[in-house]
Amino acid sequence: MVRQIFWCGVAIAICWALDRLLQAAVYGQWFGWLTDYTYRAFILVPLLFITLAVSLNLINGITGQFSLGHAGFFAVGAYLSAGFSVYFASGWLAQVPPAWQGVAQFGLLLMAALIGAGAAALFGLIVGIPTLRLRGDYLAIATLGFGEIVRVLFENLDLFGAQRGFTGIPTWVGFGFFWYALLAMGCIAVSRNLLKSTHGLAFLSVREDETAAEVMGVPTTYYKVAAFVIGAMFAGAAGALLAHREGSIYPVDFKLDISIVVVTMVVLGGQGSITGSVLAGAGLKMLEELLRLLPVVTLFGREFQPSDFRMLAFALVLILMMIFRPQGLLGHRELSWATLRRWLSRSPKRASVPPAETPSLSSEGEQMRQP
Amino acid sequence: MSETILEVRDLHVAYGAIQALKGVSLTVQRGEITTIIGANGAGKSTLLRAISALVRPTRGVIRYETSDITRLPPHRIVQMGIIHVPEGRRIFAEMSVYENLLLGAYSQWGRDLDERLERVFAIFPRLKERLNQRAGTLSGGEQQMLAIGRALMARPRLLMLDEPSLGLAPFLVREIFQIIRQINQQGVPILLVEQNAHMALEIAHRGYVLETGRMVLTDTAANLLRNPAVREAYLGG
Ligand SMILES: Nc1ncnc2c1ncn2[C@@H]1O[C@H](COP(=O)(O)OP(=O)(O)O)[C@@H](O)[C@H]1O
Ligand SMILES: [Mg+2]
Repeated sequence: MVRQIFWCGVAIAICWALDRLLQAAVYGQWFGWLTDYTYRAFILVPLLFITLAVSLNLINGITGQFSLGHAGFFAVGAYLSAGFSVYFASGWLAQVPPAWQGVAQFGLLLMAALIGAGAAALFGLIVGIPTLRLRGDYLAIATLGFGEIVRVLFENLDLFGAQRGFTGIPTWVGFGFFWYALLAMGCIAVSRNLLKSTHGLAFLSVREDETAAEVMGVPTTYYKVAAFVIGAMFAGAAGALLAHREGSIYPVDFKLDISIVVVTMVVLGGQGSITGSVLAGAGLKMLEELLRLLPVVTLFGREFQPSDFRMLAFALVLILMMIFRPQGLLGHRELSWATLRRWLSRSPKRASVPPAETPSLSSEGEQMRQP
Repeated sequence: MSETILEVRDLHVAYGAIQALKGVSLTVQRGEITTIIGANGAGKSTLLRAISALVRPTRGVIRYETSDITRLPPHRIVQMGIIHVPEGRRIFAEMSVYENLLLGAYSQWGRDLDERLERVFAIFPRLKERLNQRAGTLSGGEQQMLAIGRALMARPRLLMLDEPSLGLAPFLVREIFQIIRQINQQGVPILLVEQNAHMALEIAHRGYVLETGRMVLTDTAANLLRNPAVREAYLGG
């Protein structure tokens, strides 16, 4: 526990320092290529999608529930946290004396993010329970429906700006790197810890063979809903950060495309592999951005931006993936210090392989509690 | 003086329009091996699946020790000590042998895990050699051993085995049956479903004959082995 808190502190400090450094570099125009645009497109947005991909990986990759509704949770988090800030928190902040503004803002942003995450988690519960009976295609269709309903709902609620978009959200996230990076790291850490614990084995057993998991006494329903709730929670928090960085959100930000892109990331990275989700989440988003740099092409007398074809490209990637490498780029592999060390020690000089140790149960015994 | 540990009474199970069990009754006595024999499609697996709540009966009662477990969810039944080794082994192929064994202990997590692991290794030394291997790479016989070993990790108080000999070479079948008898001699009552009626009746105390969803005959295993009708239908004359 002490160790976790220590690393948590280290992570916060590093994110904060990097944030300051980046801010100086971008605003001070240290490098020609590092502009406000490239910072946003190649650092910030990829970080957001890392969170989305890793959180969907919990639902889709780790318990094997094919969900196409991630944009819905993202939207719920964005809109409800923004609603809180616009209608309540801004008023409260106005009454805080100037000296305390910074602290109050920090606290209110944290609250808004928690509200976004909590609301999305609640929706995860609401969606997770009835869809438990559904599998495969049916689950995909039901969650797709959920995502679209959420978007249409916000599109028609005047309280949230309807089609005009929800504007005037306080931009408490500021520069953004600190919060975005922290959320992505938090999401990765939670996923990793879940998988490391014996609960992780239970999650994976549900994906591999639900019946076998059931005869082992794994309450499969509990794990499936838990995956939905935790995954939705992080997507919601990501939405909250987006809203409070951009200052305005629009229903089109949460279109089905987003769900499809995130699913592509998880499948591409290897369902269940956190490392894969991180790499594919960041990589795909950067690739998409690079597509925009290509020149406009004329086809059938109409002009097209190559990035207009990105959905086509994603569909192709998914199809090719299913044909040639259904387990994803990384399969179930993870990058960790242990694997790195193994790679390094696999140098040709050392021919003898140390005998595999029998893992001891006693250390893991405490990690697992009966739900 | 034997004592009933499991009692199934008038059990009906349907898959949609298909009536798989049409009023089945059976008891399992403490300390004994009880076997259910019957042709393919008779409903043997369905009966085990109903006991571990993987399918819901439309009628009938399942009692375990002193409680009615008919309506309990699967994980509660496992917690009570009824451990089901399903047909086709269903090991977690992508996981290591060790992880499979750990999952076996899911319902009975506790301090004596290492001890239980050692007991499983004493019965199946090969599992210890293969501990870090991916379970999907094991041979058929080893996979069956893993399936049983995994069940033993749950400290079974009633072990239900569905066709443990399926697809195994004859020498392995004999080995597996030897092990089943050994586990029973350590005090675990066993409900054994088999198409290999001869081997099953050889090690069982009591047997039931299931035909298209109905129990048609029950007797001591020794009597069933001598029964002309059983010999005719299940033991090849
Ligand atoms: N999931 C299922 N859906 C529909 N019918 C099934 C299902 N499982 C088994 N059955 C039917 O129920 C009957 C009993 O099957 P089963 O219990 O598997 O028999 P056994 O194990 O004795 O071979 C068979 O007629 C089989 O076709
Ligand atoms: Mg069967």
